[in-house]
Amino acid sequence: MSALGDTLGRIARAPATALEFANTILTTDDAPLGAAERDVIWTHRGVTLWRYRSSERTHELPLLLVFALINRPAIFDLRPGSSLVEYLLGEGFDVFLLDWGYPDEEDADMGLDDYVCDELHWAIRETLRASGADELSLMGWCIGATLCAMYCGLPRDPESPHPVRNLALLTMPVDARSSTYARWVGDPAFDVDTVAEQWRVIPGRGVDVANKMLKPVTNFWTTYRRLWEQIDAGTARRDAYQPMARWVADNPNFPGRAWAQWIKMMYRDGDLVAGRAELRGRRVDLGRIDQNLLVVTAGADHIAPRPGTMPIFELVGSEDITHIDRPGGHIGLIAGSAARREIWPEIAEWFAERSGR
Amino acid sequence: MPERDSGGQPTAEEQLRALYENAESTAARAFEQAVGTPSFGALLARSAENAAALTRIGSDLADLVLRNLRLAGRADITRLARQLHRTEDKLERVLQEIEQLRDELAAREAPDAAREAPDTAREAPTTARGGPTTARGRRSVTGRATSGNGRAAGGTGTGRSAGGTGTGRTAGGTRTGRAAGGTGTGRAAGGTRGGADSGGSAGGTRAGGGSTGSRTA
Repeated sequence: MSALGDTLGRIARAPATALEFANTILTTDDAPLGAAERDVIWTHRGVTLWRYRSSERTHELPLLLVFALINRPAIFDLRPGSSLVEYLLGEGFDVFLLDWGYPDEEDADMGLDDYVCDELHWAIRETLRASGADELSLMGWCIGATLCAMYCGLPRDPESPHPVRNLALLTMPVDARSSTYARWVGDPAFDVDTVAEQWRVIPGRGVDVANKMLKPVTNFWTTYRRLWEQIDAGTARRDAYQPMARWVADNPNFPGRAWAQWIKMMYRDGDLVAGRAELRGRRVDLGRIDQNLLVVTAGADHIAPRPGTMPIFELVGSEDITHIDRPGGHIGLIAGSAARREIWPEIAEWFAERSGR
Repeated sequence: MPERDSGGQPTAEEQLRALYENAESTAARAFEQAVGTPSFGALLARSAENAAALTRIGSDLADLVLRNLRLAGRADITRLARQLHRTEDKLERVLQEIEQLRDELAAREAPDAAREAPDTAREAPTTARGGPTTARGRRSVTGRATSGNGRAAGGTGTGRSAGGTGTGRTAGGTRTGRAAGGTGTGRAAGGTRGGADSGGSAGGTRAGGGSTGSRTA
């Protein structure tokens, strides 16, 4: 076909392309999410602990997944064929998921201490009870990874063993003071506490816009242009695009108190990396982390840039440390189309080797 | 894709497209640099402060109007929800106390059962968790069966969530005390038992409360 013919054909197809494009965008919120069946194990406030059904559990240790506060954990189980949970179940793991829910104004008083000392602690307790195990594996992603690291960095009860044997931290911010976020909120003139108090909960949509502003052209224009072109060329995969787009746009509110703590700890003072962070008067010392440790970093991560994760290696006390560093983005590395063959097997193998008696 | 001309040179459309993509990527880099500047950060921060203040003013105004109409506003609903949270927090701690006491009771009974039926006891692995001689196998089976009933009664976890909204926060000291054991545990157990009894417990699930009572008595 000549170039002119191709151009004319494209113009002729434009109305149909526009219709399909609009339909894809407008019905994104109706896209089904999740591939695996699951049951509620425990709830508290808006927090839910899920256990995924499986008849192939072969590993002794249950695996608890923890995601960030600013997005939904559905990314762990996005859709059939693109679900980390589905993959882990197939590898014989007993998979639990901690879902932070959708905080609203009544949760404005929730702080990082509540998430770590109560919700995460209790979820671990319930996971152990439900599985009948004495220890578990913990895998956190993004802010969820930081919460998991903080949990393992708390002072321990000397009379009982720590329940976490294996700790996997995916694209985790440890020291974010050199990030773009820090340039936005790091100025002391920005009154974090007042904003948190006035807003009570930071709107999820606002967090979403802020995240997208890190790469404004890519997120607000290029994504849609590419979708248009794929639809026009007949290569668009609605079943792949819509679940991810729905997940990206599904942002829970960030409780004001937790948000203010996070901003100050990560972007201003660097308390976590300096060992000054405290939860309910108990100092969080990452040096207390002595679990088998897996750290995954992404080379093109603009949300939690790799340099902000690397200090973890100098802080922890673990003897068994594995670092997987790959090109990829903050989410794409673990949930992208190539993840199933490039990184999930490594993660599953790492857990499998450490999940026996 | 448009075909190349006979000389292998890019077609006009390809050239136009390459030009556009180059411009787009240049713009993307420029915008990323722009949003990374302190001035943009200051602009964003001030905008966020203003938006928060306006939201607060609008919200307060709406609540004032609704309240004068004798209707419940968002603030009233939030206050009620917080009260529910406090209740749920307390209930969660009560449930944990009950479960812990039930585990301790099971652990205490385990050696007796082992003496009476050594064959059975051997089947249950031991662990330090939850007590130095806890028969973990037996304990976990009991715990699972019991909690399974309880949660099913409320609708798979609803039994807990219905009661369960949260105040663990205010009772933070309780947990520490309990973890430390000793006197703190005893007091907490007493409170737990009372709470469980008065709550009527969602069916037989909380029968462990009865055991708790006999234990603390």
